[in-house]
Amino acid sequence: MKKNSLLLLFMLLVGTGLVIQAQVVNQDAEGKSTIVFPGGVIDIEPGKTALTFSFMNIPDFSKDKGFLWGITARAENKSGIGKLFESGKVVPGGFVSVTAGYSETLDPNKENACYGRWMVYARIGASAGKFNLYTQTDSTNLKDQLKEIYYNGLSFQFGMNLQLGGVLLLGLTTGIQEANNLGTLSKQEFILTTTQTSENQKLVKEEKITAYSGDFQEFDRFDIDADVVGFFKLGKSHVMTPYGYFRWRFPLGDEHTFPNLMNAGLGVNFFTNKGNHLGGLFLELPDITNELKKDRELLNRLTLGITFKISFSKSGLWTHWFK
Amino acid sequence: MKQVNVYFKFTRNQFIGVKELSFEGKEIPLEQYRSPNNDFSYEGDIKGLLVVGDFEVLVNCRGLLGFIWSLEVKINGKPLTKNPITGEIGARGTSIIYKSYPLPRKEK
Repeated sequence: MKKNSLLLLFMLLVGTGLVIQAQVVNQDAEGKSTIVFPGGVIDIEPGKTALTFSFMNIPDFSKDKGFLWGITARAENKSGIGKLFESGKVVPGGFVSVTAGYSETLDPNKENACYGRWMVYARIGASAGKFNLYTQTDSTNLKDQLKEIYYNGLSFQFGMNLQLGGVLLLGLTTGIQEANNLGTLSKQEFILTTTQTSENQKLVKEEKITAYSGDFQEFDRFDIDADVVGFFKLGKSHVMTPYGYFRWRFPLGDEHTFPNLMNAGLGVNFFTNKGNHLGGLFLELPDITNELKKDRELLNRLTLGITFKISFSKSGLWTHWFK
Repeated sequence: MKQVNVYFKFTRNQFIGVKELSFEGKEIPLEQYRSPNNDFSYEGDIKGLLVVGDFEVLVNCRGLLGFIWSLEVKINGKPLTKNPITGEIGARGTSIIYKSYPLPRKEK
């Protein structure tokens, strides 16, 4: 796989006439941002075998006030690269969310006043998925050691954005979601070989299985996300948008062993002054205080990503790749 | 004072919104002229638009620093003496141009 499947998807999206005026000024390693921006984005993350589609309808800069709405859908495969499009279908997993809110400008009528605006929004989402858990039981049937686990959860977020002049965008969300620790389990690849023998013949079947080992836990979690984006001129014809973000994760209750986590990241995107995205990169440090004790070396925990857009006429397609 | 045929094309990107576009003090109802790629363009008579002397243009844009817009104007098929008119969003998040431009010269 599955270059053909990806290519097919690209062509389908373009072929259906879907006009995507993609615009993202910042995003974290999961492709998320608290700053809402108008337009549609398709985001492909080959490193995570994930595909995100989002569309936001926001009053543009000319409007003094108005309502906003949007949808986001994400398909992600926990079974590894090459299975995002299984048998021509996107396998179950990921999340879908709906956003609704309100936007209003600050001091729109005063002469020489700085333009600004604020937005508030609520977002309701649902996630679901399945994966194989390696249970290491004493079963004689090796396949029984791989238990298929289904999970799902609801989330609710309240967010606000603030634009100050032409130079600063701030975003903040708080929310609660039914979460799990799947992302912290150890991923392992297995090859299950079954052999059938008959007289002097032997039939060998090999099946590649991705499984996770560890103690799978589900719990409620309180999240705080914050983003800040700056806009700077770069020469006469380019614009640079450096950004930074924090993600705090506070598991609730005591029926789990999941610690409080803090992720942080820095990045930058580059645009022409006509608004075309040229590319960008970001650096994320997950689990700043190393609560998960995955790797004591800070540099080894860093995630480096590159963001760029492939253009199909007026369409835009964002991808980002991980180390 | 005379009625004229006007062509205009306002080009911007998603980082810019047009709060107001006026010719000779008459505000243009931009939403009527929005094209599929979110530019605004029109050619024809604009009801109530009468030109006296130079051609007065007001552009009031909002957006994010460094991004540019462009306005192409033709009067009776001929471009204004400055064509296109361009502007850039500043640190205040606005770009406002209020200026008069000489009409194109008549050919003899």
